[in-house]
Amino acid sequence: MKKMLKKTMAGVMIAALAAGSLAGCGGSSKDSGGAGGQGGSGNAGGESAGPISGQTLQVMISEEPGEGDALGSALNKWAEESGNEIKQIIISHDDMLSKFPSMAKNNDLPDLVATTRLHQLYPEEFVDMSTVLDLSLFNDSALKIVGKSYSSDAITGIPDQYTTTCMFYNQDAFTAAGIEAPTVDKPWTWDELYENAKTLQEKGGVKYGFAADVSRARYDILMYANGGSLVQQDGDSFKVAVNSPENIQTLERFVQANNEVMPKAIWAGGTTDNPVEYFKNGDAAILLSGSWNYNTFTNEISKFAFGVMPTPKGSAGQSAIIGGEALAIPVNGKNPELAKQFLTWLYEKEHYTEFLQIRKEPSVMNDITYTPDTDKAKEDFEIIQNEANYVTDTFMVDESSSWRTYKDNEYRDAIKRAVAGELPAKDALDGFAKALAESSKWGTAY
Amino acid sequence: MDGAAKRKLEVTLVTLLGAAVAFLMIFPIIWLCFSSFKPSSELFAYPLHLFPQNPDASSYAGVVEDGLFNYVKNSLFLAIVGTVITVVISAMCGYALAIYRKEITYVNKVFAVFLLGTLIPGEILTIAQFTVVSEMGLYNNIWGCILPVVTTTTGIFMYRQHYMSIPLELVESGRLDGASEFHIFRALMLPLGSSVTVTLTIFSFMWRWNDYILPLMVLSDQDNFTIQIAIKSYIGTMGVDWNSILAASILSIIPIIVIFIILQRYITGGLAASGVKG
Amino acid sequence: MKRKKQAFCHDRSFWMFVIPSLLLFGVFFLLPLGMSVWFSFTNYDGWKTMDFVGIKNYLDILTSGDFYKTLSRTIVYTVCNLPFKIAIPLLLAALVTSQSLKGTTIVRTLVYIPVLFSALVAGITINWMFGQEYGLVNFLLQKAGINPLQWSLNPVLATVVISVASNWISAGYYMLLYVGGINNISKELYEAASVDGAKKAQAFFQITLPLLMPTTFIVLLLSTVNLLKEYALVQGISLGGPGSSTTYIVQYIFDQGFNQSRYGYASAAGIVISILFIVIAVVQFKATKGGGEV
Repeated sequence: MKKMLKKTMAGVMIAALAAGSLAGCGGSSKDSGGAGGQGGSGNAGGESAGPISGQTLQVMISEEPGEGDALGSALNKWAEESGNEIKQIIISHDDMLSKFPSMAKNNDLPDLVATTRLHQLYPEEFVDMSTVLDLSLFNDSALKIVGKSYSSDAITGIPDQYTTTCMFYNQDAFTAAGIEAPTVDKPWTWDELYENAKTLQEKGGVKYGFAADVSRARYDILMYANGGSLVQQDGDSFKVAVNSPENIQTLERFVQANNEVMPKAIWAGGTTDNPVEYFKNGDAAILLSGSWNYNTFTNEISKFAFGVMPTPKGSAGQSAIIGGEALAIPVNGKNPELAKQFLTWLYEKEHYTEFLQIRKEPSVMNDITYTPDTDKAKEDFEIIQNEANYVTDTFMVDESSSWRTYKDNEYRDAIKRAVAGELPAKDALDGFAKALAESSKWGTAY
Repeated sequence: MDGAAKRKLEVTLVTLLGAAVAFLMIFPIIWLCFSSFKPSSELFAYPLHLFPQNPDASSYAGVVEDGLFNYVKNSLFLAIVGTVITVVISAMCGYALAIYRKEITYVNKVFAVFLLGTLIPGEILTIAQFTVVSEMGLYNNIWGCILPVVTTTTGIFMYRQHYMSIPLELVESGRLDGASEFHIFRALMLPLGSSVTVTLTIFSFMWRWNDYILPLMVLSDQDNFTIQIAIKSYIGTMGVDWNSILAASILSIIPIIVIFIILQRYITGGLAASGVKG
Repeated sequence: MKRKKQAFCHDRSFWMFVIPSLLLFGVFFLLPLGMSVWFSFTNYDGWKTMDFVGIKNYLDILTSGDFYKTLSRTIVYTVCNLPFKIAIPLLLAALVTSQSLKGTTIVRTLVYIPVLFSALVAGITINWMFGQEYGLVNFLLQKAGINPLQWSLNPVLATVVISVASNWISAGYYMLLYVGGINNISKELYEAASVDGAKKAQAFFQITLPLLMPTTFIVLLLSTVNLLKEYALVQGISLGGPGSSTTYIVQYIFDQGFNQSRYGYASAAGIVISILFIVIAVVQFKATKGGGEV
């Protein structure tokens, strides 16, 4: 039997190898698409590029596009105008991380990817955007934070969505509890927020005074507001600073807030519930989430009036985190030229203005702005746009360290374990600091 | 109380208990089903109502518009073809492992190799499996989701147990009649295993219908996606599209329930054999 | 001479029957298994890097506190659930084989239906029932004047929810195994017992249970392995939380492999637990003497 098995295995190996080499051939002889049609690099107008038509643009996105989907409408409109077709492939956000390498290994990459991190994790796989568009037309911080590779200065994705952390509040609950919303000139402190959340929970007819998305990109504004950071600059390198005394204090306060005024299960992590639903349902009075919700809230919340408020002050001031999604072109896609053609088209003034009217979000281009149509929305939008001013230097240093290349979900998990009461705040952060230092080879500051 | 009355009481009590148990088991899915007809404003509205206040099938229309039927079609192909192959090769293998147990000394060693399949969590092999599939040129090919999973230890085991309980004399008499080994299997023995065949058909159909990770990695053409991948795509970065996910879940279980109900009256016999001989 | 020839002929027929399964199993299971063993000695990231690192991954695992914690949590979960995985299906089987039950087929079908669901759909359904804020169970508790329970916040309750889900989608399957076993028990045994004046409950404990030992062995073995492998369901319900209180070993491996691209390490962890599973199965097999003749 052994012999038999050996023979079988040998046969299998040969077959596998043969198939492998065939695939290899296929890969190397891959047609490089409309190579003759370039030359419009850096030219946002793109007149000099010979337009391609009659082809199919493959786009990978992370969810089934909903109604009023800006990117979807833009793609369709471009396809119609240019005589090309669109083919979508929808892979949920979490699965993209395993799907992308598996596509790459099979020379089957899409032409365009809408992603929050692939282009930053694997910059060598994506087209350098400075060869596609005139980057000076774009908002600098949007490019740096959403578009830049983790490991170099190359811009490997062009932001199509640019969002900021944002605090929403339930106006009816505020009125019922006799609380006045803070203004840009007179923001609350975080302590005031927690205090008011308590009052809201008692008198505002809500279950929870305050709720926050379970994402470290939300939690971290508390950290930055109190002067903390994940890393510190150390010459050309960095030092891990996530377990600094101020960060431990911030986490301890957050754990306490979870016990008192927040839906604790969200941050303790035993549920797939989304606090955004709690807010929409009128169960949470204040929500720390992102500006992208504004649109949905406007459409879906009818039970109460809601508003937007400026982020509270910590011991070191106010803070915000910006982020978003980028469009990126895989180098080894079948038709990168077509994707370039679409991007050039999308960021033309006329088309991008239209895009923003559907997306209702801050613009990523310097000369183009979005203006809401109602007064109330205009007011709110001003507050949202103003948030970007609170982005701290500490956040920018953290971003430049690209710490997420080394450890990512572990950070949120450490916070989770602290909130769940499994570990004291100090142990949780010490543990994460150690893990991050180990895999990044950085020193520790504490 | 006389015998007849006592018996009647017993029947009533036991039947009530049965009804209660059945209700308990099925209730979560009924609740899911009713919820899927609620408009999104009602989904999370307290107090909860069992029945939708303003029933609304728009979420169903939505998922159908998203191409759900196409995904169902792909899943059907995957499940049907996969099941046919599984049944055929498992029957052959299980049969051989049982029938030749006296004549061939190493039968149990071969069987032991297959048993590895139940003990090692297949999940840990995903990446390596995918590498093999890619190297064989089966990437983005529905066969790349079928071939890796059609050999199932459970199926082989079920047939083996079944044929162990059939007297070897039956095979001998076939041989004496001059029938070839394969003919004996096909014409004589396979029909005897029909109860196992039905059971394995249901199991295999269910496994393939519910496969997720391998199809996710292997398939890259949206038109080839399966229903499970489609359901997952309603769980987005910015939240879950509950309306769609409920409707898609309900639609996804209908085919498999239908198949089960059609085949279920044969199932007990098959499992009896698979379990253990009495 | 003839005898020998016939034996050879049977050899050939045997292989002919077995080869399709063996070939596919070899290519898509044994080969990947061999590859995973190789990966476990490298720092493979699932894509670009693969350097030989010796037994580093194994040393890392054996000195990792998280690995042991997750493993012992998995074992506790398995041990606590095993009695239910056996008792519930057994009682269900006794119920649906009872002569006094009307509508046997319907009850049996309805009990079995949850088995058909994918982990994804089962997770969605259970979430819909046990959601802490908008779940039906908490709503009913509140209506009954009881405080809603913290299904997602209390580690024990979160584990209970996972356990309920796990039993919900497996009970029907094991029930049918038992139904098969019960149907195979000769009716005469019961008749003899009733002549002796034994009550139904007595008959159940004295005849049914002992004769079902072989089935119980199968159920025990299958549910042990499946509980140790619990993953997809958790992923759909609690994502391993609160904290890490429902993170079991396969999820740990997946997190390491897919989310952190440490496929070498994940493979090594996979090999370690596979060996452990095999040991557990062999011990169970020996302890129950294979449940009689299997």
